[in-house]
Amino acid sequence: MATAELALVKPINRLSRFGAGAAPRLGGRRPPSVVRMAVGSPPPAAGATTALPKKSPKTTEIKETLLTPRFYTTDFDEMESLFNTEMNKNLNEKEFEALLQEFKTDYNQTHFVRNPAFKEAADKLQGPLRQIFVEFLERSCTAEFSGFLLYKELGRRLKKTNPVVAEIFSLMSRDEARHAGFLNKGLSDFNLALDLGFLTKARKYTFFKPKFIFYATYLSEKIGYWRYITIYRHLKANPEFQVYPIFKYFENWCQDENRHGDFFSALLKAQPQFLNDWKAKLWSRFFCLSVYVTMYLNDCQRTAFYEGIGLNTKEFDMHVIIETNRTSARIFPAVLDVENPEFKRKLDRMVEINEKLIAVGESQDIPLVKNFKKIPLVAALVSEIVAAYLMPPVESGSVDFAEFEPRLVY
Amino acid sequence: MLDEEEHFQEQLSERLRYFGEKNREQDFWLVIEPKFLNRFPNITSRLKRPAVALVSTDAAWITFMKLRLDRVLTESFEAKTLEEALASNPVDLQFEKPKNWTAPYPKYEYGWWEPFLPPASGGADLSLSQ
Repeated sequence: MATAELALVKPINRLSRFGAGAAPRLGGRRPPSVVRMAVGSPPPAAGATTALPKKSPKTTEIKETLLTPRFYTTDFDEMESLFNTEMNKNLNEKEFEALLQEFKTDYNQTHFVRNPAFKEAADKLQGPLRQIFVEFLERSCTAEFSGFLLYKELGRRLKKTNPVVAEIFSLMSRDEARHAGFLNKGLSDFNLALDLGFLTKARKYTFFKPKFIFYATYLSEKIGYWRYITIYRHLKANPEFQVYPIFKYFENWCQDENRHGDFFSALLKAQPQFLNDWKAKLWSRFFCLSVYVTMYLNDCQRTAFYEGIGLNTKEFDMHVIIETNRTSARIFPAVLDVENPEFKRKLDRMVEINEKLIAVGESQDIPLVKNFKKIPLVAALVSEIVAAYLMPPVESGSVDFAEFEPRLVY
Repeated sequence: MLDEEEHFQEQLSERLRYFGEKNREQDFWLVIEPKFLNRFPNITSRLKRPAVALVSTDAAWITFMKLRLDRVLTESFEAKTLEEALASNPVDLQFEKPKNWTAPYPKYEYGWWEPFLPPASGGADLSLSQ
């Protein structure tokens, strides 16, 4: 894979992006926790049926950037105490029981069935678009798989303290495994496969406190929903861009993401300390900004994919940001004023600065000179991000405990 | 709710599809300007009109839908027949395109909710209304 940056096709992959938006490629701050995707997109060798990263090191490059999908782990003991019904009286068991029923229903049990159209479409995809699709499948698969691992572990660890919450985590890991498997089968259309067992062992895990896992997974599930449904509905209206059948599955698929988000919404409601004070407001805005900026910067480096399916990248992203923000306002105590045109202007300036930063990184200068050239750019980027963070926020929150009377008609 | 919450349509369609696949009898409906609202002055005082209610006999599902939609109010009631529970007052619906339509796809058409309106008979006891 010749690209320096990743293709973030499901850019806000599960559990990732903490602070990434706030510090993309900041000079010397190279977080050791960031793991590169262990997967490149080697052009399929003639006759090769699979190109597993483990076995074909020559065809695989490992890229490291702040924006790559990451694998997360958390403080499981703290999670256990948060969900101990004896210690936490705020746990709304009715809500969790209802969620459990909804996950048990398993609307998509028979949805992920492939057909011959996949392979035929993949064979027709040639040239640069083929590479872009492979990257899309790899990144999406890795993102779904990282969700699978975390949810599965949480399901296992919480079994004794809170069986209901634990079972919901297990059922969500079922969904994620299904999604990852479906994407991996998609890779087989391109004569590739991700070795998920290898990924599990080879990747480093980034640690985050439960609180941050809640905010960030909520946002990544909801933004994932909005990305998928937007692509689905766009392609339904413009079928001439329907180049690979996987998009036809997105409508049902992303209902899973949306439900996962609802579960994190219930988890946050069960921990009012994460929602009801000034710190919660600052964190909410911080996570919203991190997620939106990361997606915008990523996608703007990957316009070929979006244009390849007939979308205008920036318009697509702004729509997704606005909708995700409206959704988040139902739970977060404060959100960003993303519908203010100034917000988009700031994002666009960040894209310009980020492009210059990438150009410096790719230049032939020695590292010292590169770093020197990066300083003013990094300062400019940070100042844009801080300015976006400090824009007057929008007060929000669930109608269940908002201090104001929210409009009951949306 | 009918106007802006497009994921709501997807959820209802998904559930209707699922009930069809499992041969389960439908137990949820959309009721526009339901007559039962008169019984709940604490709700009507906070409600913009015309209002639409999502009515189901499945209390857990209503709890879930309340979590999803959030900006809605819930109540429950007993009714002798489904007709009684789902009775509605006639009203002219305005289906407006939001001023700021940012999506790269067209909005759903007027009447998308029709598949979810009540039939002519049965027995419901729960509601969620807006």
